[in-house]
Amino acid sequence: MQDEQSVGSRLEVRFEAMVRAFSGDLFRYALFLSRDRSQAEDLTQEAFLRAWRSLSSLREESKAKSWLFTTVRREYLRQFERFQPPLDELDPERMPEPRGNEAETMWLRRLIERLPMIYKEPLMLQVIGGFSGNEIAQMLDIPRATVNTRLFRARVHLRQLLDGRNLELRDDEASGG
Amino acid sequence: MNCFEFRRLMEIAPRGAGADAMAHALECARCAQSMKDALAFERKLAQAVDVPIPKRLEERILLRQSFRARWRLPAVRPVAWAWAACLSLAILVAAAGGGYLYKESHLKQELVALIEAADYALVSRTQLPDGEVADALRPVGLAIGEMPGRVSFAGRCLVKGNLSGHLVLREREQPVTVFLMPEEHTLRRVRFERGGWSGLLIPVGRHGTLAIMAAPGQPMDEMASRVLRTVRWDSA
Repeated sequence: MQDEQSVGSRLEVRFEAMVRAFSGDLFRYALFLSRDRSQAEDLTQEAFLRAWRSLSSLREESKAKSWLFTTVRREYLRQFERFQPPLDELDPERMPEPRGNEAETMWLRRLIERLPMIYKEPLMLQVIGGFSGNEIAQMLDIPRATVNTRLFRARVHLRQLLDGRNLELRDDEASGG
Repeated sequence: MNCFEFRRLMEIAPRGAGADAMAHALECARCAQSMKDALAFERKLAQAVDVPIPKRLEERILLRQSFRARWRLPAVRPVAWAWAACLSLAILVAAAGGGYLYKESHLKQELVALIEAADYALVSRTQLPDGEVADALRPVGLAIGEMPGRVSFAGRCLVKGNLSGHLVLREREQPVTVFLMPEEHTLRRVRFERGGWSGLLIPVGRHGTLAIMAAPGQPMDEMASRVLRTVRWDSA
């Protein structure tokens, strides 16, 4: 019984370390997917509860991290794909007066939110999660070349919008990157 | 690596530039500038995604997990089965002997369910003002004098359909839950373990019942004495 209790205790310590290490980034990723803070918290909570149930199989920290991000994504697709909170119009008149970096940061945040999902997902996995191209390809179950194309287009598009060039980025990928 | 490949890399993974890319940047001034711009844009991206996370998110996740853990850890399962057996036995005895044990068992079960349903009450560590605690208990017909400890939550709940007082105190930084149940009458002082919680039921004469619930190992008798000394049960 003591052995079982010490196993339980070790699992709890490990779980807490995972929560401390990943919950912030996981919430941010969930928020950019769902664009809703309460949904993002639900997704984060759910991912960690599932992680607790599968903790003994999540031995490597790097795998645990990608497992958590993948779980958030799957749960989002399962639960919330049909519900998309309305986006505010990107009306420059409604944006705060640019005051240095803060206004630009807010503006860029809204531009990211508006990216089509196929571009937003790999970009957020890279920028928030710090995952490599190969890891993102595995997590999204798409070829590495497709990940590269989507990352390329996402950045170019954001940069153009930030520079005031309003170019359309569509969901389809008819042309190559 | 040529300029085209370099510029493409800067749009795909600017932070992942390897030795090839660095060597090219040293040779090509325009690509070096392109790298500088790309890294500046990465800093902006990182700032943009750095949204504030909800307060106490980590604590809420850990709290939910701790409730699940009590039922899911291998070490706990045999205990849960043992308690299920005890519960069955208690029901049999109650059926034969007048139902008292059943009533007591039901009360314990309800108290555990109440704690787990009101998990939010366990999160706060901030001490409440004395007045707030007194205000919370007044509608239950209870008055409180000196605080029995560091009260971090004060509210009311329904125990078996009857309005009851609900306090959470911090002892050695751990939460100890107190239920003050004027409508619940028990016959004996009883200590119990259920659902991963330790509990203590104390009859308070004709005034009702006091219950103390805490994680196993937390001292409860002294807390019970302090609560009994300071709470007046017939203030209505």
